[in-house]
Amino acid sequence: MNSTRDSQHRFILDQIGDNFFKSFLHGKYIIADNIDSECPLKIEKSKKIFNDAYHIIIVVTSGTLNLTINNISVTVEENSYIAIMPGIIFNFEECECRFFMQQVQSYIMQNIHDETDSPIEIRKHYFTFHHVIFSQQDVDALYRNYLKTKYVMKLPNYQLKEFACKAYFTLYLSLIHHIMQYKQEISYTTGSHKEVLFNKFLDMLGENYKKERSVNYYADRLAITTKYLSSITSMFTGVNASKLIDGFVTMQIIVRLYKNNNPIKDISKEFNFPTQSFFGRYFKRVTGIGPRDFIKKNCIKISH
Amino acid sequence: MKKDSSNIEIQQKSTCTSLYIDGKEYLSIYSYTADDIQNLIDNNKNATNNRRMRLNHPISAIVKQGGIKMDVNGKTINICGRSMFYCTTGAVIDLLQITPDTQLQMMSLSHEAMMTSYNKFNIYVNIVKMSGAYGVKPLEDIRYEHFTSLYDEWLHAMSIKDFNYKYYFSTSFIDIFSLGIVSLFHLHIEPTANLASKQEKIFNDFIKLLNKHANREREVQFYADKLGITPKYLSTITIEYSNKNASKWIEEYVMTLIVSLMCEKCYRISDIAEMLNFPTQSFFGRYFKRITGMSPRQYMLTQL
Repeated sequence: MNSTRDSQHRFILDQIGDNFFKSFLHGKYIIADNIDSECPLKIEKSKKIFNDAYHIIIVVTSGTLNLTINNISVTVEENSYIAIMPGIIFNFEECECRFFMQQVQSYIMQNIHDETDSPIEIRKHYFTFHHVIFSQQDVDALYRNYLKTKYVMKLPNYQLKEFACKAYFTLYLSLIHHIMQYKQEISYTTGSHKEVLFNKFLDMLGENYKKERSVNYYADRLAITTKYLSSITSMFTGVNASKLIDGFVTMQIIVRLYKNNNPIKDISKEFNFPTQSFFGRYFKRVTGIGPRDFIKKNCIKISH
Repeated sequence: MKKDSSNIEIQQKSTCTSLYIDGKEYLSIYSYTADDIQNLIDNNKNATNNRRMRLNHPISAIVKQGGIKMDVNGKTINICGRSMFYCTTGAVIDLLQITPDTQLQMMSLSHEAMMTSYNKFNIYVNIVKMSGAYGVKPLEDIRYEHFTSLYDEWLHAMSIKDFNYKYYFSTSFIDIFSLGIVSLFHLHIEPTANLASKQEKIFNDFIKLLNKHANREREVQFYADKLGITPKYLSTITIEYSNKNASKWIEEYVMTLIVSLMCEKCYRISDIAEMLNFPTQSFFGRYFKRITGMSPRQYMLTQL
């Protein structure tokens, strides 16, 4: 996306200190770990990071990782995993641990999900996070996969790197899905009224995003004021309702642009934009670049 | 591409685990000792009265330990332990020597599996041209560990009863090996960067149409109509990409299909002519002879 976003994601890497191995592939795949590091494992408290475009998966192998996610304190212990979806604000707290992390652009992640037929529920895959405890065996299997990805990322002059990363990532996801079938997720729900409303809003958005993009529509259906809706979304994601809707819709547009290079005309019709011109302007307003430029920049190609 | 769990089947025999899709063998992994290989050669000798073996499918193998000396298409090669060997359809193998401690793991793919994998990377594999291609290379330790552990992980994943992602795990697994072979053996990749993106899209759509219709349609006009352009323009695009005009592309593609079917060895020439929508066997014979210089029967006897 635009350059400030790119630099924001190096931001995560910059935040976690020099004792980490880090690798960054066109901003699409980012990995980091401090498993082999001999330096002190202390992680400093970081600034708030707004994760607007990535699926971040962190597996802790020893020690404890402390995070604050959307103002909730989360403690991730040994042999557990945390997945942070797009639309979340979080920061690292002071702690000591070893972890390995993989981060992938959300449109690639959703593309993989679509291909593997895992249904995308907006409530599970956006604006939220998942914390699950694994077994030692599971973590070892994931770490072995991570090491292979790391090897590929380190190869210089590898034309097909992006394809290899995608293949390894699909394997990684298959493993995680398989393991998740047997594990219980740690619940951070409070059952508060605001939370119930927020989840209802997300469900409605998931059903209607192709047709309805105005805050008024959703506020009316939930029988609350637009101001209250924005205050709820701010509480859970740090952005107001209109930004949240635009962010989510844009993400879905990008998924389709990336998937099979759909003609812009078709996508603009699918999303019920009055004209292609409206569509282009909307996209540019939210992401900073036009749809055609986005395709040129980001669609998977053999690098030279 | 959706894959129902109902049309996927795993078959496990003593030295071989196979993935069947819609009743057809898609991917098989063999674990052989020196004795197993000797048995394989002996059985083939008894069945065909020939101590040489002709490959019907592309294979890639990792020799874990031991040593093999063999003739491939008349050329003698030595494969030592911790090496990778790949070989495509049509190669003729004559085993000369094998040390008794030899152990290897081998993957054999259906043509569909191989082409699906390479198509993902926008690499067009010409089975006819690549017929009989092979390569041997010792692996560095880390690569050897990666590949052997991937084999083990696949075998383990296929043995779990409720692993729902077997198909996607398998396709990623195949992709990783395809990419590995391309990079290890520096196989030539045709770049796509020369085309303007609109032309590239048309070209990719053309390949997709070939995938879908080449078993019935061989006229440039048909494909040009489907793409909404003139046959001349289609040829202009394909020549930019590869110096072959559209009708040559179609011919090569159809030849790929014909050779795949011939390799199955269970179809008569009249069957193949019918399956590919030739009006008569005579038409088929003439088409084939025009392209290869020999009749289908001669080709099957001498080249396969």
